[in-house]
Amino acid sequence: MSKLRKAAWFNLAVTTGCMLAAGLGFAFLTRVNAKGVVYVGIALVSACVLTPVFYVLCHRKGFEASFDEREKMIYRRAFALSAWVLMFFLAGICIVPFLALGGQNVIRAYCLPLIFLSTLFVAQFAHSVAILIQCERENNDGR
Amino acid sequence: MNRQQKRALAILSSMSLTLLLAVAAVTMSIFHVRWLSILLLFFVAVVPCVGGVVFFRLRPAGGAVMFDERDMEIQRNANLASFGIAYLFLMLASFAPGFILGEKASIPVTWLPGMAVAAGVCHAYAFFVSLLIQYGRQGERNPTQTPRRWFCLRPSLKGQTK
Repeated sequence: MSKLRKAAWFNLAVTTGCMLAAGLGFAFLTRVNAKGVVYVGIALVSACVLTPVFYVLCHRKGFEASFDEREKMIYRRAFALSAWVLMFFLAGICIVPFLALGGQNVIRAYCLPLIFLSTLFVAQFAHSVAILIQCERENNDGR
Repeated sequence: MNRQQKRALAILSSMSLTLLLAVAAVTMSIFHVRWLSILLLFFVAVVPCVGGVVFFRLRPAGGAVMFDERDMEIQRNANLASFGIAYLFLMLASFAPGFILGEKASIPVTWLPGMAVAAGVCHAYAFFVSLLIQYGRQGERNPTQTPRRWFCLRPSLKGQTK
């Protein structure tokens, strides 16, 4: 398995884990109806815990430097595709509740961070899946 | 100033003017000056159309190089920057209501499409500003370099054809 594919699987797994953790965090925030200073405090504590973890995980030396031209091209294409998917998903997720519930209705404030997190997850999912599909296709063509 | 810069300036100025006019129209409608707000709304519709027409009418001279590797790199960077800024805006717009009102509070559904539209506007602004900054920087780096003239009627070829 190439480094690019490993990275795709790794990113997918880490993002899924982070989304689950963040979902639990928001469930807690909603339960205590956090706002203002409490909200910022909890966010800061979470950031202080998560930043070193992300630094260790993501700051791997020569991550892209070890890719060859073909892999760099795959990575770029996957990134472009994930950006498009993210844009369409965001447009859909913002318009659908408006059309379904009507302009006069209201939604809970905790839905917004969940929407944001879901866009993150969808973008990463599309990115990883695009990399894996492209690698698989190239492998099949090479046979 | 090359073609990309002129196009970016056209869109930026029309967007800024539209935003200003829209704010003025809303203000007038709050103060119940209806005729003025309707007039301003008319201009809110016209100004972006003018910007779009200028954007598409700015064409290069025939045979001139329209888009080279450097332009592609600049556009890629601008895309990345604008994408990041729009996403940052989206993050702020998602977390702000919870921060201010509390997680169990309710907000109007109209917030969602408004957020998406505002993120789009942010993206466009950041993209064109980034384009202008990058072209400006590259001009500063090579002050001796002759600026490329995208609209000229190929003056260097004029003499050769005779």
